[in-house]
Amino acid sequence: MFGKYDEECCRIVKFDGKQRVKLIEWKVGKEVIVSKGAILFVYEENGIEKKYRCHFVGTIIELFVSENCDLNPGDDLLLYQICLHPTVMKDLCAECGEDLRQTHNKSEVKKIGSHASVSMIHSVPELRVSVEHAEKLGKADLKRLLSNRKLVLLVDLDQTLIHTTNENIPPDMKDVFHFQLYGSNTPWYHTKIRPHTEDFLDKISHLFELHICTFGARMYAHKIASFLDPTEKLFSHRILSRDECFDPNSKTGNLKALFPCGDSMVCIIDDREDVWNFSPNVIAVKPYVFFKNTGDINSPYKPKIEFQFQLEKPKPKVMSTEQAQNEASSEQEKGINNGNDLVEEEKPENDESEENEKQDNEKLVKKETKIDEKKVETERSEAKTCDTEEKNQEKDETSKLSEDEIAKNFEKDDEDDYLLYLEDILQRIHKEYFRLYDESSRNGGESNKPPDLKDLVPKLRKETLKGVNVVFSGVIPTNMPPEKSKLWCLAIALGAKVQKDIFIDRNSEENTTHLIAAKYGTFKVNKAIKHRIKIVNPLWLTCCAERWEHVDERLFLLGKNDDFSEQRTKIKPSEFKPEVNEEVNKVHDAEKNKATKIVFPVYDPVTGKRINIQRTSEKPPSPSNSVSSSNEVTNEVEPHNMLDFSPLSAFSKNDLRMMDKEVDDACSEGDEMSTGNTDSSADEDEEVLKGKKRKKSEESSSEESLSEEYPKGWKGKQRKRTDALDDDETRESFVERTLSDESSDDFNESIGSVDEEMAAAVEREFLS
Amino acid sequence: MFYHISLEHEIQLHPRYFGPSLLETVKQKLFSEVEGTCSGKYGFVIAVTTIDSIGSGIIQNSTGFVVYPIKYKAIVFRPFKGEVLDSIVTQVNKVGIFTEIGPLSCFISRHSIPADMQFEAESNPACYKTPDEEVVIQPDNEIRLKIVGLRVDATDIFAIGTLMDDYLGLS
Repeated sequence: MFGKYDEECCRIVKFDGKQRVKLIEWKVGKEVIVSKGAILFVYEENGIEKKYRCHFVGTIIELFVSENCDLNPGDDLLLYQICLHPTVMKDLCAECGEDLRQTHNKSEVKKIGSHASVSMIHSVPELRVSVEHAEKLGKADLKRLLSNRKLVLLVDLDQTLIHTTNENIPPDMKDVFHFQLYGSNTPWYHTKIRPHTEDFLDKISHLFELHICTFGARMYAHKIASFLDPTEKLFSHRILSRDECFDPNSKTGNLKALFPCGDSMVCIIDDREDVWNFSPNVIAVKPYVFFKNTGDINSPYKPKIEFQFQLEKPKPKVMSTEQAQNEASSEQEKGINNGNDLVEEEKPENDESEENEKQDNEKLVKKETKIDEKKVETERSEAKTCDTEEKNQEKDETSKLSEDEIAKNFEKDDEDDYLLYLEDILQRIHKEYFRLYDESSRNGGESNKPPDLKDLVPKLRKETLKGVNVVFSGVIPTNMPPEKSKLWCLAIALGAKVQKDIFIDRNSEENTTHLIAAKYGTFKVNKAIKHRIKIVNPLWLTCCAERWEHVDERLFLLGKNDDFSEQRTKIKPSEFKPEVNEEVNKVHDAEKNKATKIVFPVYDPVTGKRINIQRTSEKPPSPSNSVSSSNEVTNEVEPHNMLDFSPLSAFSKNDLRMMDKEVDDACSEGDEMSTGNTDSSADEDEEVLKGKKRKKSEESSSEESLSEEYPKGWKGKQRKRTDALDDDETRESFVERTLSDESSDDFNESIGSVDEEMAAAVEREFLS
Repeated sequence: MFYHISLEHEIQLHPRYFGPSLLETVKQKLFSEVEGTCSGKYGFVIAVTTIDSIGSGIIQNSTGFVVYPIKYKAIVFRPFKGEVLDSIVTQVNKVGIFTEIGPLSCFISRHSIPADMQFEAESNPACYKTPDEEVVIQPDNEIRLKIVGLRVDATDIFAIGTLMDDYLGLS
């Protein structure tokens, strides 16, 4: 009788009328969910038709009385299953309105706990539905998508469609939105939308259902969405932000909830494949960088910097020019008052705009300044560490750049046309998917499995360089298995065949077509020249991967004097994390000095096991060093990195680079490898710290849940994020925040907050 | 349901406000601290109508702050189970409809929406509508609903509603 239903949860309804009536028509059927007030059936009482209303909530299993039969009071009407609370909002069943926190029946609680668990709506994580219900809704979604011939596209924001910075920028830049999220006195955000975005979204939205998936905070995500899509016709409410992400480092976890029927129709565009766990349906987008000094402000952790060969030569630090001007002016002040130069040094750079206004004046006084500066420098050289000295010099160099050049730089770089390529890729995917779908539905009808984008996307990508045989020369480090290097994998993913050596046979398919080389002079390069094989630099491969097309080799021919293996060593850490300003650097150095032992994890290339090299930290550089460095004028500025002063500097830069690479590679493969923790020990320490903090936040979470502003645990998560200052950027913002806090923390406000706190406490007491 | 009731509240005031407009400040502070708040017992405080008495201020010996006990009358909105209310639709999705009744937000599950209304994801904005398109529920519409469940916390109230009754739905 109960079928698939649990007997415990089934109830029989008896007719509670006063007299014999005639049932005319059932308004409900089997397996229908009814709620209170729904009409169950129509009956005739003394010749008058009446409606019998439902006074329970549940799923109807069986009807005992057939239509046009007589009903006596006390007769069994129907069997139903009580509400198992398939939809729950804020611990309140959305079907029957029962408060699940006050449910007395323990066994029921157990069932319910496992029941409503899927939060299907992007922006409302508190709303959960049961797995079955979610699947039902998911199926309906799939059906709708297929009938509309649409696929799902998850769109990342930061560095994919937009680029946002917190730094001060010129106020009159084109197509840049300026906004504050949390009222006045909070950081300003400046967002540049990638060129062609509007067109791209408009065209793509006919082929794909667009969802936003970002690591930005909820307010941020919705704000950006309102820029991209003011009428809400593209994204509607399908915005998933960091606040709704289950895992702070990965976006994969939410997929199952959003698409309970599988992600076979889901395609993803993101500039970071790692946050999707390198899922095959991710299309890695060329990161959009508009503000040169800012990376992804919402990055979960620092992006890997290896393999970013730069297309152009590394540019002079643009933003630091302004900084430098700042510096120069503060130097000037020092000339007058050089007693407290350290205070001057820490002057934040907020007043850049003022500085810009002062620009003209400054040019006039610059010469004087420099003279002053030199004096000051010699005076101070004893007291100051060498790296600050060097920085001053660097500023001196860069401050010669005029502001026009900055503006030009911003304008010039706005020629990004990647979205046109991306649109093309997506159109191809869409076309291919529905070609396969039509084929399969024609052949096998419904029984055939619909095509899966996780197979389709790699397949299409593989067609990019079909028939191309490549050989690498001087690109892959020799101390690792070449099959594991990124370029190798990239070439394979693009459908090219990778050969270990040049193979010449014009008639064979194995004939080498391309040599990807880092520089002239290697054996393979010479051989390739002899046999007239195209020699390209590694950028060609990355460019093909970005555009999914066989890019013209002529754009990437290896020049005689190019050296792509060296370029990486030339790229200083300061260029990769240019957002690190001076204060932060100081914080860094201070922290590094504090640490008594620094462990650099190194991995054995053969076994992949970790080799621990423990070193004591270096003492601060000696003053004598600084004297000498202040005298010599060099363009090359040593990175102000502990690494360079550490005993590890005995290794050559190449060696260090290899080590880094090994570590990074091992990290990226960490998921598959069972051997140990691949994080560097510094990270481990942070992990420990985080763990402690997590505990703390757990302790306090019970209080938090009372306040109901966020569901339990949310604040903890956010706090954790701010604690995890593992990337320099957050560190910077943190420093800025603390600085601004200090400055704005006047008597007035502090009193106000105490006031409010006390008031809240009083109120709480009063209420209880 | 709305009530006009007497309530009490204590105002803490910084000594710098001690001056000619002291009581005016107290009143202003009462309005800003009380209006718009929500307590589980009385519901949402909509507006203070009259201030009945401002007690004598007591200076705290540790902080120098003064505490005024205030008795006032206010209009409060306390929703109840079974109450029928007019609401404004804020979001429509495949799981249900989110609505707002002034300060109170209320969710209506799909199963509590008449079965003949189907969810339309493709229309812009998304909506629930009957096959003949006679009734269309989409954001910013006014709908009448009945409250079937209430989550009453110390500082917030949340409601679950239904459209399954006579005269409910689009008004």
